[in-house]
Amino acid sequence: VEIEFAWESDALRVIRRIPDITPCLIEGPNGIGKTNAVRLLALLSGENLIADVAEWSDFRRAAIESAISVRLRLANDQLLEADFTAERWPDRWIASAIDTVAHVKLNGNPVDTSRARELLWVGRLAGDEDLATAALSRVTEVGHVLAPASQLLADRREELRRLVAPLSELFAAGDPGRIPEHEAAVASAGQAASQASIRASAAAEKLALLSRAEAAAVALQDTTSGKDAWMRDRDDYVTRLDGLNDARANLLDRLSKLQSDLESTADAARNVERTQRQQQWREGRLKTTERERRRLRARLDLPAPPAEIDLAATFAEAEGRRADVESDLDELDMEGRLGALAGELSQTLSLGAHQGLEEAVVADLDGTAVRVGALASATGRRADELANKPDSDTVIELRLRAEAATRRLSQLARLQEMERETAEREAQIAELVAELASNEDELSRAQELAELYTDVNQQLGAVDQQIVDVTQELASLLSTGGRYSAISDADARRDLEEAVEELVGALSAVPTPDEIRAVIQTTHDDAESAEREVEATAHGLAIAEADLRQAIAESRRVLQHVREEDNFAWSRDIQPAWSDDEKQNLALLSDFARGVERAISEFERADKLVSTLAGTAARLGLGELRSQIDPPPFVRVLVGHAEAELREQLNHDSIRRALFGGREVVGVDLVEQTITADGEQARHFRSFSTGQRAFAYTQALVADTEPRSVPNRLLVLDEFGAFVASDLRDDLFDFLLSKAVSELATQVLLILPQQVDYRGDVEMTSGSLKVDYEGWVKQLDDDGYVARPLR
Amino acid sequence: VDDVAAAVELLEKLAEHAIGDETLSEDLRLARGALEQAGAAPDAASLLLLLVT
Repeated sequence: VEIEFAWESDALRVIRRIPDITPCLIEGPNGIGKTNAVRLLALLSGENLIADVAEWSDFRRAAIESAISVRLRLANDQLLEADFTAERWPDRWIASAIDTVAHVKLNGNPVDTSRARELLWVGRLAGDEDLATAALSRVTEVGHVLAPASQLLADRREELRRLVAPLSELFAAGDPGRIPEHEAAVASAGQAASQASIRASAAAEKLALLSRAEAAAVALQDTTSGKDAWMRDRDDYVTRLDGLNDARANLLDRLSKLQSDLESTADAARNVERTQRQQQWREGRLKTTERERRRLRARLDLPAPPAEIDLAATFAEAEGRRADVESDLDELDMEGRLGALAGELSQTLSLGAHQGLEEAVVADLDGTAVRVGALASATGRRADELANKPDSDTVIELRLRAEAATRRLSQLARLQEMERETAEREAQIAELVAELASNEDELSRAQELAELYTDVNQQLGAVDQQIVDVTQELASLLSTGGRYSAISDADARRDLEEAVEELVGALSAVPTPDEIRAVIQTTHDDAESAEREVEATAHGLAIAEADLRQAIAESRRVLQHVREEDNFAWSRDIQPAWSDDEKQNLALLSDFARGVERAISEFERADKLVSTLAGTAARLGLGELRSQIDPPPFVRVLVGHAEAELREQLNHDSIRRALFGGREVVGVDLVEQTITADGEQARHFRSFSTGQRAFAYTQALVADTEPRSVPNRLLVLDEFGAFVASDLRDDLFDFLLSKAVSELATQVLLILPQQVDYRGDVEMTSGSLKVDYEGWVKQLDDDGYVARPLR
Repeated sequence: VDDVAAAVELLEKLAEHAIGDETLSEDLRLARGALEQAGAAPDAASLLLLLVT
């Protein structure tokens, strides 16, 4: 691969040209741009070789100013051109930035940056990288990997904050989770109020007890004669008054019930009168029916009522007679029946004649055609003739008998109706008689109740009078007993004993009125204090209840907003399944609020953790690590990770064989900088950093690198000056020409600080070597470095 | 996506090295889960849904 860089300013130093030679030695002083050229080529091939954040930032800034481009003449004569777009590189490197490192053309045509990776691979081995640095680079790599993750989390955290801000504001205004606190406050205030109320009641009861005790003590001091007799009389009057009042209450109760009963019998008199009127009317109707019944029976020659008759049999007999007469009449009155037939025929035929059939033939009588019109006229005439012919005497008589039979049947039907009607009216009258009897009983009871009411009312008047009398007598007695105490000695002793028993310690065994009054005074103070406390706690309870109501009202409002407002539509998917019960919904809302808060809080914790971890990994240095006696947990984790990664690398077959005689590496300690192979003592990193072991390590790394399926593979060995200066130079050159290396890379670059004084030595050379030296001196003069074949 | 996947894998590895420090181990796994969800969710509302559920 032949490589040529170009730039607009030299803020970032880069060597101008790398010839198509392998192995190619590039010699030049530090700062000429050898390593920067490798870094840019590595970026194009898909890898950033700069781990340190600050170093990357400087590199990027200089690259922007320099506006660097590169042309690569690849195998098969392909031309790859790249303009590095450093202004698009991220300030902190992320892997995905690899797709925007440069604008790329292949054979003059723009292609994706990824096309460059398909054509070019650049691998770099650093000769100065000891095991400690290699291990620490794993830590730095953690910073690289976590940096974009940290950025993503930070961006998402901000998005989440913006999203839930209105929800958080709502919950702050009406947090349903605080309802239980308010409920507890109400319960506590209620308990305080209740306890205050109990104390106040106790003080009031104590005061009442003391008042009775005081009166009792005073009474026991009263030794006036006649007191007991006066008190007995007073108690008698009181007892009598109590009895009279009880009696009065009973009488009033009875009057009230009688009043109610009387009201229920108020219609009794009217009911009697009504049923009597109905009975008279019904009896009148019955008489009329009865007269008609008698008349019909007489006319039909049947026995007079109340004799029983068999009307059905009489009916059957009358119908039989009429049938007989009609049968006789049918047999004798042939002309009458013929006249009727002729009349019917004439009517039917006349109807046909009117409907256009007058000339139609209706019958053929032995060859003579009979027409409808003619036959209608003929039958009409015959009917008239037969109708005008006088009946015989026998027929007349039979007809009279038939009419008589029909009349009898009609009268029998009427009689049958009269018989049924008579029975009905008699039944109705019987019902009315029973109803009248009941109504008369009710009327009688009403009269009795009225008398009883008058009687009880009179008793009440008498009791009232007695109450007035006894009250006057008691008043008279009381007016004469002013000098006596109002309590009997027995009652006084009982009250006093009770007070002493209840107020143990507060009163002596037989307290005087003054002693009791002193206790009353202190108790009175206690009662007042308790009352004030009752007021205060009631006020506190009212405030707590108001707070609770307000909290519930605000939570309801929040619930409504969350469920219904459009600007919370996005949260419907994470909202709970609401029920029809508001209290349950408020609990669900509280859980929902806590769930959202917890989710955000955990996300922020994750964001903070990754950010801290990435920052720690990016800046952790070996010196800092080794100076920490008790490193923080983050550092321990990072070190553990780096040690595990390094151990895994060292356990690759070729390295294990080259450095540990095939033994497994079982321990790597980054702080102590030791490696322990199975069955061996721990060895310090330094024992692997020079000489054959370091070279073996380099060889093993190459052997362990899988060749890429890319046509142009550039292996760069950088910072191998110490190898070249030592007796390993020839071994190194042999290695670079070995099969392992030629399989891995199509071109090998060995980058070294300037080893030879070409200008000083050119005079000591001759022949072709002198020509070579002169060319290299010219390179030094033109470009400041030498690029030449290794041997 | 690759960046997130690499970071998720790394956090899991780091959690394995936090043996003996349950809090840090739990925090690292929490961060791993949060990162996975942050990478998977197309927007903040979807992310919150993943976080809450």
